[in-house]
Amino acid sequence: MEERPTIIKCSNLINNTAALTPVTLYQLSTGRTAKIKKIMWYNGQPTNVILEIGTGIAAFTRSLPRILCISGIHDSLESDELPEVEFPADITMQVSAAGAGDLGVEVLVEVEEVLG
Amino acid sequence: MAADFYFAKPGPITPIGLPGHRIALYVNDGWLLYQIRFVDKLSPSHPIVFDLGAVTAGAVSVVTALTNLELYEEIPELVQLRSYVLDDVEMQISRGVADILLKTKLITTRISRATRQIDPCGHITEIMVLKGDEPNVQAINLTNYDLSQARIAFYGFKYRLQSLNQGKVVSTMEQLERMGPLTIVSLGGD
Repeated sequence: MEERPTIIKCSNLINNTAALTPVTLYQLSTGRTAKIKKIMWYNGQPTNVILEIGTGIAAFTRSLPRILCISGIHDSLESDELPEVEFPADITMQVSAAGAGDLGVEVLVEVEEVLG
Repeated sequence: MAADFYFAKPGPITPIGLPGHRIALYVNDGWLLYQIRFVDKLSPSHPIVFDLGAVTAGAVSVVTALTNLELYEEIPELVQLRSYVLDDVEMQISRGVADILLKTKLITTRISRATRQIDPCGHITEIMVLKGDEPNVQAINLTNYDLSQARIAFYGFKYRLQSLNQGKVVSTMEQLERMGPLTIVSLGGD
Protein backbone atom coordinates (compact mmCIF):
# COMPACT_ATOMS: atom_id res chain seq x y z
CA MET A 1 0.00 0.00 0.00
CA GLU A 2 1.34 3.42 -0.93
CA GLU A 3 -0.35 5.98 1.31
CA ARG A 4 1.49 8.94 -0.21
CA PRO A 5 0.47 10.82 -3.36
CA THR A 6 2.30 9.29 -6.32
CA ILE A 7 2.26 9.31 -10.08
CA ILE A 8 3.51 6.72 -12.57
CA LYS A 9 5.99 7.95 -15.15
CA CYS A 10 8.36 6.47 -17.71
CA SER A 11 11.95 7.21 -18.59
CA ASN A 12 13.18 7.93 -22.07
CA LEU A 13 14.57 4.94 -23.93
CA ILE A 14 18.28 5.12 -23.12
CA ASN A 15 20.89 3.29 -25.19
CA ASN A 16 24.14 2.50 -23.37
CA THR A 17 26.87 2.83 -25.97
CA ALA A 18 30.03 2.63 -23.85
CA ALA A 19 31.23 0.15 -21.25
CA LEU A 20 31.35 1.10 -17.57
CA THR A 21 30.22 4.62 -18.32
CA PRO A 22 27.37 5.72 -16.03
CA VAL A 23 24.50 7.50 -17.73
CA THR A 24 21.24 8.92 -16.43
CA LEU A 25 18.38 6.53 -16.84
CA TYR A 26 15.67 8.59 -15.15
CA GLN A 27 15.86 12.23 -14.18
CA LEU A 28 13.99 12.75 -10.94
CA SER A 29 11.54 15.64 -10.67
CA THR A 30 12.37 18.39 -8.15
CA GLY A 31 11.69 17.44 -4.54
CA ARG A 32 10.43 13.97 -5.36
CA THR A 33 11.65 10.43 -4.82
CA ALA A 34 10.96 7.45 -7.06
CA LYS A 35 10.65 3.70 -7.01
CA ILE A 36 11.23 1.53 -10.07
CA LYS A 37 8.12 -0.40 -10.98
CA LYS A 38 9.39 -1.97 -14.20
CA ILE A 39 12.71 -2.29 -16.04
CA MET A 40 12.90 -3.43 -19.65
CA TRP A 41 16.13 -3.95 -21.57
CA TYR A 42 17.61 -5.32 -24.77
CA ASN A 43 21.23 -6.38 -25.10
CA GLY A 44 22.59 -5.70 -28.59
CA GLN A 45 26.05 -7.00 -27.69
CA PRO A 46 27.38 -10.33 -29.04
CA THR A 47 28.08 -11.37 -25.43
CA ASN A 48 26.13 -11.27 -22.21
CA VAL A 49 26.54 -8.04 -20.22
CA ILE A 50 25.94 -6.92 -16.65
CA LEU A 51 23.57 -4.01 -16.12
CA GLU A 52 23.91 -1.99 -12.92
CA ILE A 53 21.24 0.40 -11.64
CA GLY A 54 22.07 3.04 -9.03
CA THR A 55 22.72 6.70 -8.47
CA GLY A 56 25.52 9.09 -9.37
CA ILE A 57 27.46 9.73 -12.53
CA ALA A 58 30.89 10.83 -11.27
CA ALA A 59 30.66 8.40 -8.36
CA PHE A 60 28.26 5.66 -9.37
CA THR A 61 26.75 3.61 -6.51
CA ARG A 62 24.76 0.48 -7.29
CA SER A 63 21.34 0.34 -5.62
CA LEU A 64 20.04 -2.97 -6.99
CA PRO A 65 21.81 -6.28 -7.49
CA ARG A 66 23.52 -6.61 -10.85
CA ILE A 67 21.28 -7.74 -13.69
CA LEU A 68 22.46 -10.24 -16.30
CA CYS A 69 21.42 -9.21 -19.79
CA ILE A 70 21.67 -12.11 -22.23
CA SER A 71 23.11 -11.37 -25.64
CA GLY A 72 20.53 -10.57 -28.32
CA ILE A 73 17.59 -10.97 -25.92
CA HIS A 74 15.08 -8.54 -24.45
CA ASP A 75 13.83 -9.08 -20.91
CA SER A 76 12.19 -7.24 -18.02
CA LEU A 77 11.63 -7.15 -14.29
CA GLU A 78 8.30 -6.03 -12.89
CA SER A 79 7.16 -4.59 -9.56
CA ASP A 80 6.48 -7.98 -7.95
CA GLU A 81 10.12 -8.89 -8.50
CA LEU A 82 11.64 -5.53 -7.65
CA PRO A 83 12.33 -4.42 -4.08
CA GLU A 84 10.87 -1.09 -2.99
CA VAL A 85 14.13 0.80 -3.29
CA GLU A 86 13.34 4.50 -3.14
CA PHE A 87 15.68 6.69 -5.13
CA PRO A 88 16.29 10.18 -3.68
CA ALA A 89 18.24 11.27 -6.78
CA ASP A 90 18.41 10.67 -10.52
CA ILE A 91 18.50 6.97 -11.37
CA THR A 92 21.67 6.13 -13.25
CA MET A 93 23.09 2.96 -14.78
CA GLN A 94 26.13 1.43 -16.39
CA VAL A 95 26.79 -1.75 -18.38
CA SER A 96 29.85 -3.98 -18.55
CA ALA A 97 30.06 -3.78 -22.34
CA ALA A 98 28.32 -1.78 -25.03
CA GLY A 99 28.79 -0.31 -28.47
CA ALA A 100 27.23 2.33 -30.64
CA GLY A 101 23.88 1.90 -32.36
CA ASP A 102 22.62 -1.68 -32.58
CA LEU A 103 25.49 -2.82 -30.35
CA GLY A 104 24.09 -0.81 -27.45
CA VAL A 105 22.20 -2.00 -24.40
CA GLU A 106 18.79 -0.33 -24.41
CA VAL A 107 17.06 0.23 -21.08
CA LEU A 108 13.77 1.79 -20.11
CA VAL A 109 12.19 2.11 -16.65
CA GLU A 110 8.71 2.81 -15.40
CA VAL A 111 8.81 4.59 -12.05
CA GLU A 112 6.39 5.65 -9.35
CA GLU A 113 7.29 9.15 -8.23
CA VAL A 114 6.38 10.19 -4.71
CA LEU A 115 5.21 13.79 -4.91
CA GLY A 116 7.17 16.07 -2.67
CA MET B 1 -23.18 26.88 12.70
CA ALA B 2 -21.32 24.95 15.38
CA ALA B 3 -22.61 21.66 13.98
CA ASP B 4 -21.25 22.38 10.51
CA PHE B 5 -17.97 24.06 11.31
CA TYR B 6 -15.53 22.71 13.79
CA PHE B 7 -11.88 22.05 14.31
CA ALA B 8 -10.34 18.76 13.07
CA LYS B 9 -13.59 17.59 11.49
CA PRO B 10 -13.31 14.01 10.21
CA GLY B 11 -13.41 13.59 6.45
CA PRO B 12 -11.86 15.75 3.73
CA ILE B 13 -10.63 19.02 5.13
CA THR B 14 -13.34 21.68 5.42
CA PRO B 15 -13.08 25.29 6.59
CA ILE B 16 -13.70 26.08 10.26
CA GLY B 17 -15.97 28.90 9.15
CA LEU B 18 -16.93 31.16 6.26
CA PRO B 19 -16.63 34.94 5.91
CA GLY B 20 -18.69 36.58 8.63
CA HIS B 21 -18.46 33.62 11.00
CA ARG B 22 -16.88 34.13 14.37
CA ILE B 23 -14.19 31.93 15.86
CA ALA B 24 -12.62 31.55 19.30
CA LEU B 25 -8.97 30.51 19.32
CA TYR B 26 -8.04 28.60 22.45
CA VAL B 27 -4.50 29.34 23.58
CA ASN B 28 -2.86 29.46 27.01
CA ASP B 29 -6.16 28.61 28.75
CA GLY B 30 -8.11 31.45 27.20
CA TRP B 31 -9.85 32.37 23.96
CA LEU B 32 -9.06 35.04 21.41
CA LEU B 33 -12.08 36.14 19.40
CA TYR B 34 -12.03 36.90 15.71
CA GLN B 35 -14.41 37.23 12.81
CA ILE B 36 -13.49 35.70 9.47
CA ARG B 37 -13.14 38.26 6.67
CA PHE B 38 -11.88 36.04 3.89
CA VAL B 39 -11.08 32.38 3.24
CA ASP B 40 -8.39 31.15 0.86
CA LYS B 41 -6.82 27.74 0.15
CA LEU B 42 -3.30 26.34 0.40
CA SER B 43 -3.08 23.59 -2.17
CA PRO B 44 -0.87 20.51 -1.60
CA SER B 45 2.11 21.12 -3.87
CA HIS B 46 5.89 21.40 -3.85
CA PRO B 47 6.19 24.88 -2.25
CA ILE B 48 4.37 23.67 0.86
CA VAL B 49 6.47 20.52 1.27
CA PHE B 50 9.29 20.98 3.78
CA ASP B 51 12.44 18.87 3.67
CA LEU B 52 14.41 18.79 6.92
CA GLY B 53 17.30 17.12 5.11
CA ALA B 54 19.27 13.99 5.93
CA VAL B 55 18.65 12.24 9.24
CA THR B 56 20.97 9.39 10.09
CA ALA B 57 19.80 6.11 11.62
CA GLY B 58 18.31 6.62 15.06
CA ALA B 59 18.99 10.35 14.99
CA VAL B 60 16.83 13.40 15.60
CA SER B 61 16.98 16.45 13.36
CA VAL B 62 17.25 20.00 14.59
CA VAL B 63 14.00 21.80 15.28
CA THR B 64 13.25 23.64 12.07
CA ALA B 65 11.03 26.69 11.77
CA LEU B 66 8.72 26.59 8.77
CA THR B 67 9.30 30.22 7.96
CA ASN B 68 7.66 29.88 4.54
CA LEU B 69 4.37 29.59 6.41
CA GLU B 70 4.81 33.11 7.74
CA LEU B 71 1.54 35.06 7.74
CA TYR B 72 0.56 38.71 7.55
CA GLU B 73 0.14 40.31 10.94
CA GLU B 74 -1.35 43.71 10.05
CA ILE B 75 -4.57 42.10 8.93
CA PRO B 76 -4.36 39.04 11.20
CA GLU B 77 -4.12 35.76 9.35
CA LEU B 78 -4.72 32.20 10.44
CA VAL B 79 -4.09 28.92 8.65
CA GLN B 80 -5.72 25.55 9.17
CA LEU B 81 -3.30 22.82 8.12
CA ARG B 82 -3.33 19.08 7.73
CA SER B 83 -0.14 17.23 6.99
CA TYR B 84 1.33 13.96 5.84
CA VAL B 85 4.85 12.64 6.02
CA LEU B 86 6.65 11.56 2.86
CA ASP B 87 9.70 9.80 4.28
CA ASP B 88 10.10 7.15 6.94
CA VAL B 89 10.46 9.54 9.86
CA GLU B 90 8.19 10.66 12.66
CA MET B 91 7.55 14.40 12.80
CA GLN B 92 6.99 16.33 15.99
CA ILE B 93 5.16 19.60 15.48
CA SER B 94 5.24 22.60 17.76
CA ARG B 95 3.83 26.11 17.88
CA GLY B 96 6.99 28.15 17.92
CA VAL B 97 9.89 26.17 19.35
CA ALA B 98 8.59 25.21 22.76
CA ASP B 99 4.83 24.63 22.54
CA ILE B 100 4.70 21.05 21.31
CA LEU B 101 1.36 20.03 19.84
CA LEU B 102 -0.41 16.66 19.87
CA LYS B 103 0.63 15.77 23.39
CA THR B 104 -0.50 14.47 26.76
CA LYS B 105 1.00 15.39 30.10
CA LEU B 106 3.78 12.85 29.70
CA ILE B 107 4.22 12.13 26.00
CA THR B 108 4.18 13.90 22.68
CA THR B 109 2.69 12.11 19.71
CA ARG B 110 4.02 12.50 16.20
CA ILE B 111 2.98 12.22 12.59
CA SER B 112 4.45 9.38 10.57
CA ARG B 113 3.78 7.55 7.34
CA ALA B 114 1.55 5.19 9.31
CA THR B 115 -0.71 8.08 10.34
CA ARG B 116 -2.10 8.27 6.81
CA GLN B 117 -2.96 4.58 6.88
CA ILE B 118 -4.86 4.87 10.17
CA ASP B 119 -6.36 8.29 9.46
CA PRO B 120 -6.60 8.65 5.66
CA CYS B 121 -8.33 12.05 5.80
CA GLY B 122 -5.63 13.45 8.10
CA HIS B 123 -8.02 15.11 10.55
CA ILE B 124 -5.88 13.99 13.50
CA THR B 125 -3.00 16.00 12.04
CA GLU B 126 -5.00 19.22 11.84
CA ILE B 127 -3.38 22.24 13.46
CA MET B 128 -4.18 25.94 13.49
CA VAL B 129 -1.47 28.54 13.09
CA LEU B 130 -2.05 32.17 13.98
CA LYS B 131 0.14 34.97 12.61
CA GLY B 132 3.47 35.08 14.38
CA ASP B 133 3.21 31.44 15.43
CA GLU B 134 4.69 29.62 12.47
CA PRO B 135 5.09 25.93 13.31
CA ASN B 136 8.38 24.21 13.97
CA VAL B 137 8.98 20.58 13.08
CA GLN B 138 11.52 18.01 14.14
CA ALA B 139 12.18 14.70 12.38
CA ILE B 140 12.95 11.54 14.30
CA ASN B 141 14.46 8.61 12.39
CA LEU B 142 13.46 5.47 14.27
CA THR B 143 14.93 3.17 11.62
CA ASN B 144 18.37 1.60 11.53
CA TYR B 145 19.21 3.16 8.17
CA ASP B 146 20.16 6.65 7.13
CA LEU B 147 17.61 8.79 5.34
CA SER B 148 18.69 11.39 2.84
CA GLN B 149 15.45 13.35 3.13
CA ALA B 150 12.79 14.00 5.76
CA ARG B 151 9.80 15.61 4.12
CA ILE B 152 6.45 16.73 5.48
CA ALA B 153 3.68 18.16 3.31
CA PHE B 154 0.90 20.51 4.36
CA TYR B 155 -2.36 21.75 2.85
CA GLY B 156 -5.39 23.55 4.12
CA PHE B 157 -7.20 26.86 4.37
CA LYS B 158 -6.04 30.37 5.12
CA TYR B 159 -8.20 32.97 6.84
CA ARG B 160 -8.02 36.71 7.09
CA LEU B 161 -9.46 37.83 10.39
CA GLN B 162 -10.84 40.81 12.22
CA SER B 163 -10.15 40.96 15.93
CA LEU B 164 -13.19 41.10 18.25
CA ASN B 165 -13.55 41.95 21.94
CA GLN B 166 -10.83 44.63 21.51
CA GLY B 167 -8.27 41.84 21.29
CA LYS B 168 -8.88 40.86 24.92
CA VAL B 169 -8.63 37.27 26.03
CA VAL B 170 -11.87 35.62 27.15
CA SER B 171 -11.01 33.46 30.11
CA THR B 172 -14.19 31.57 31.07
CA MET B 173 -16.72 29.43 29.22
CA GLU B 174 -19.58 31.59 30.62
CA GLN B 175 -18.11 34.67 28.98
CA LEU B 176 -17.62 32.72 25.78
CA GLU B 177 -21.23 31.52 25.72
CA ARG B 178 -22.45 35.09 25.96
CA MET B 179 -20.61 35.86 22.72
CA GLY B 180 -23.16 33.77 20.76
CA PRO B 181 -22.49 31.05 18.20
CA LEU B 182 -18.89 30.61 17.19
CA THR B 183 -16.40 27.90 16.27
CA ILE B 184 -13.88 27.03 18.95
CA VAL B 185 -10.49 25.90 17.73
CA SER B 186 -7.28 25.05 19.53
CA LEU B 187 -4.00 26.77 18.81
CA GLY B 188 -1.91 25.15 21.54
CA GLY B 189 -0.46 26.29 24.81
CA ASP B 190 -2.52 23.83 26.81
